[in-house]
Amino acid sequence: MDHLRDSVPSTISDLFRKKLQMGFGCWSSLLLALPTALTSFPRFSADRLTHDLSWSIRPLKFHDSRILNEENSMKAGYKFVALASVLLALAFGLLHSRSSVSAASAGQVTGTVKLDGIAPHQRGIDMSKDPSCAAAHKDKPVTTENVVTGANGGLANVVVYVSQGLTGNEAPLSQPVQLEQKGCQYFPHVVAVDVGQHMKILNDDQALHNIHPQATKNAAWNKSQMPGGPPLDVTWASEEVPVPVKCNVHPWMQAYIVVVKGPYGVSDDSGSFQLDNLPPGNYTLTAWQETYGTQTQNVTVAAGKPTAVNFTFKAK
Amino acid sequence: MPGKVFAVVVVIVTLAIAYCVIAHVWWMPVDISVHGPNIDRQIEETLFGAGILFIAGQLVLAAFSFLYGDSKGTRKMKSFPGGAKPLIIFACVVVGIEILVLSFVGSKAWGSVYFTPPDPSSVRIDVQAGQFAFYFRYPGPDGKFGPLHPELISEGTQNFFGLDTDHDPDSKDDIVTAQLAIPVNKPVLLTLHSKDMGHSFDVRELRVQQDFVPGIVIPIHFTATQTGRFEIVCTQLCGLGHYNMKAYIQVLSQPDYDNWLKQQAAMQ
Repeated sequence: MDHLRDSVPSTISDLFRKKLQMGFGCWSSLLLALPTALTSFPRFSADRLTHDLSWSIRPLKFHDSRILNEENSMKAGYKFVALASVLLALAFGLLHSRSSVSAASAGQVTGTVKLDGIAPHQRGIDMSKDPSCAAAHKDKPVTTENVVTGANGGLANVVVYVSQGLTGNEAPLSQPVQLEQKGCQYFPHVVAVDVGQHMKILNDDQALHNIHPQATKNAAWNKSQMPGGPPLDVTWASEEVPVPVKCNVHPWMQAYIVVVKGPYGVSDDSGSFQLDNLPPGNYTLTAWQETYGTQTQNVTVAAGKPTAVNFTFKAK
Repeated sequence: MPGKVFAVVVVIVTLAIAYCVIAHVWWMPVDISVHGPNIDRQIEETLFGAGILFIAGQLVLAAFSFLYGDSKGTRKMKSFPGGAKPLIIFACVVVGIEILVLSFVGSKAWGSVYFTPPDPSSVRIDVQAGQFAFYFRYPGPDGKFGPLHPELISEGTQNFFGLDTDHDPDSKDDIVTAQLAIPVNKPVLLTLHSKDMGHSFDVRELRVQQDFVPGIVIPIHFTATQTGRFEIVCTQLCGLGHYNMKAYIQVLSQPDYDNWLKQQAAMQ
């Protein structure tokens, strides 16, 4: 079940394999060069061994022309193999190397997402079926988060990502993102993640949760987490906008995981978002919101100065 | 010696069990429904009849074990007159008669619940069971339930039943809740249907238990006689969250019930 490999929790062997892949360029040159070096010395050639088993005692005659010719041709052969292995290792290393943008040449996109109109009424959530969940919200009732607006008509939970223009050479972000189950809700309601970036999933409640990302391009999975249990560590293999997430135990819980390639930003309550580490160039940005769908805009990113992009979604 | 010890132990255990049942040590919760007394009476009659046979059987076993259990095998064993075949026929007939009698007598209690049509003025509530929660739907002021569209079910937007309020006028005033509330002393008719698989609706105090069968709408009706807050538990194993699958039912006075329904309607 190879396709499951990258989207289920990593194991120790998983981490080891990745390290191995990245260092393969260095390893292969060492592995190939070592026997080459060992066998290039004439003393250890098989010919001489079979010729005279007590060669270590008998003095070597380096001035013997027969021996010299044999040594020269062997040396040439081994030199070729050594050179070829080094070149091969270099090529392999280059093929598997990923570039990360240096700070000096990185571009940035900032902007605001606004909602034009009145947000639809968000319904209250009744958690009475699980008293431990209901107790967490005794004082403050909870509503759905399908459309969340803030100050000045800002629209939150919008994922802005690059849909066209990336070279495909960017390494995934090393910092893991976090999805938390707290008070029988998902925090954050919308989380964006890079292909191959690690995601930690925690259960901070006293209740059992069973997180179920309903992926279609990635493999779908579900996993139970007992209260006080260890966090899950997952990665995603393919782009998918979005992956709806539900809890199999608590029907009202919902979140969205948006798996994209390259830099991304998620708008906060005031609607502002930011994309960092974008190499200068022309791109198409897409903004996705769970109720209103997607919008695109073309943008040119320059090094140093941040580029401003704004999106406006119309309330139905 | 062992035969006598065994006999004493059997007598002690039998009397302890009999005491626990007769004294209602771990018993059902107080009944709050109109049909409950029929069911409770039937349970007591069954336990009485079976109990007498149980105690008699255990005491006879203890007596034989006490008197003859330690004999060294020199006594001639007496057997059932006629041998093994008449013994088996006798056992089948006696047990068979007992079962048939219980069935006929018990069918009255069963019939009073399942073969009695519901009151036409019953409060109608639609119940949906799905992994792992119950949701309830009231018809609203128009008294009609809107049609269900399973493909429109979206739990993230709280559309648990799959109602299309844009195109079905009957759905517009349906009230969907996560808790069940019913007025006291009024007949109630529940229509049970399942979103996914087999579940069961069980309220112990109401003496009501009914399995959900996917694809079938099953009606059950009852009348509650006392106010209070009780648990509805799922009593049909339905998966990993079955242990946690429940909802709460409140039996309220008529004014409280009207207020509650108004509050729920405002939250739609």
